[in-house]
Amino acid sequence: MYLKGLKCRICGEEYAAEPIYYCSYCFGPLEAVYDYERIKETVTREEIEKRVQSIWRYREFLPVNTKPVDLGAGFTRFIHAENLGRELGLRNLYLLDDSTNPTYSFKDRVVSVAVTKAKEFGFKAVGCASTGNLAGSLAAHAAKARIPAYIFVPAGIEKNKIVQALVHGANVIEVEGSYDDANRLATEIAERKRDWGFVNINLRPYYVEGSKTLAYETAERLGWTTPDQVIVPVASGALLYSIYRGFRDFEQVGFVGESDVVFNAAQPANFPVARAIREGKEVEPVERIETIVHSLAIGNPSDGIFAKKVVEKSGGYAEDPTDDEVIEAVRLLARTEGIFTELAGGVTIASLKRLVEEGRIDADDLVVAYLTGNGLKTADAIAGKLQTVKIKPRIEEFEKLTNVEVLA
Amino acid sequence: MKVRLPASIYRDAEIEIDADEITVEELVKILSEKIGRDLRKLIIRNGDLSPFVNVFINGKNVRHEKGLKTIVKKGDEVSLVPAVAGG
Repeated sequence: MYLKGLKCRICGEEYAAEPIYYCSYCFGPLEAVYDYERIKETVTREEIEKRVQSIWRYREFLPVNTKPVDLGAGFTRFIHAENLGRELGLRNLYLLDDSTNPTYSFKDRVVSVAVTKAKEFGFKAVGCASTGNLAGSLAAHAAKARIPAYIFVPAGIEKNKIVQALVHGANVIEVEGSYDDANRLATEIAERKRDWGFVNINLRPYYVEGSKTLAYETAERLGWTTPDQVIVPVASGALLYSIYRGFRDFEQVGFVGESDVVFNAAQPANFPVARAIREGKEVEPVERIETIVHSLAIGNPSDGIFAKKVVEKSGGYAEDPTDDEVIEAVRLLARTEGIFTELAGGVTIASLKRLVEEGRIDADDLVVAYLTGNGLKTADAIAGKLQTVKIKPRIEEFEKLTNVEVLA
Repeated sequence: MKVRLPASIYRDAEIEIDADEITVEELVKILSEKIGRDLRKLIIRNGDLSPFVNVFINGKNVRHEKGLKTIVKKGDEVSLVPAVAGG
């Protein structure tokens, strides 16, 4: 294994690679540290290119040492979005589309790593708090790993997402209140059930590593270079921060040159990370904000300050489109590229549109936008905005409706 | 009042504190004396509640109340948990 241990992001205290997730001196989050010299000596870009088309092609950069619990996450569609680019005024727009992952969201990347680590630690069960996507992914990976799963969701989340988790045999517990309430309960249980692995809690330093593969795939598929700008949806901020760390990993081992990727954040209207970046203030948690984008609705974003730092240091910006803009963006993407993304993807595309309109992205910039999940998961939120037409089963009726002559 | 601390900070599941009405800040001080470890460095940053920890009184996050100045009363349940979410 190329993992050296864990390190506190705040005070720098070092720890062995154990199932711990915060610094016992300052409560700062812990992150994985690797032996880059060894990785450099072991693996080349050419070798990676010949490997399995999943996140595990980058195994040296992932914190596990056993056979992966693998449903095939990663190496999803990477598309030169010419139609959408033309519509927005961008010549080099690329989309990394995780709607085609095994359980239809980017969560398969992080969960595959975390459940593998849970097995490595010999845990008896896995768990998580989830707004939906994580629930489905964890349930599926736990089924594959033959390990019980306990999933805490806020009561009233999209039925599709619960069905996905239940069908794999997970224990799905609807918690009255918001995601933050479900998350608190899960964290309290994780603190006391030391032989259970809550993937986004006590396995968090390992779990988040899976998201770095979005950066690796981006760099590899751009011919081992980095983009000029990226747009990343933000809930807790962990995804954006992990993509940043992914590009930095590749720099460390010389797979890409010194990169100066501009990071832009996308959040639903009024959420704390985007607001802090836009107003140049600290990230202030909020108790409750209404949005249709449940998968990004985290009022207390634990990695928000790190995501904000990356955005600001890179010279990027944050957008926070309204629900209407989000739905319009989902439809725009679907119409132009044939991709039906979930609402979080709509937030990303709506933010991209704003960034271009505000002149923050140039027409020739090489831009990558991350689409994190499949539109069918959140179809209910958009169904009311779409209409069919009804006719009697007669050709004349069809002609009348469409002005197309059939009987002439 | 009943207080729950993270397992790596204190081994017992719950600590009973005998007080009628105190602030979170005062509670942190009393807890520190009781467990023999200064928790202020962990919980307070720049005079405010650290962004890396959440304090809940009967399930309500004090960050959305008055932070360290929030009042804890006799019979309340207090829970200190590391601030992690989503991802």
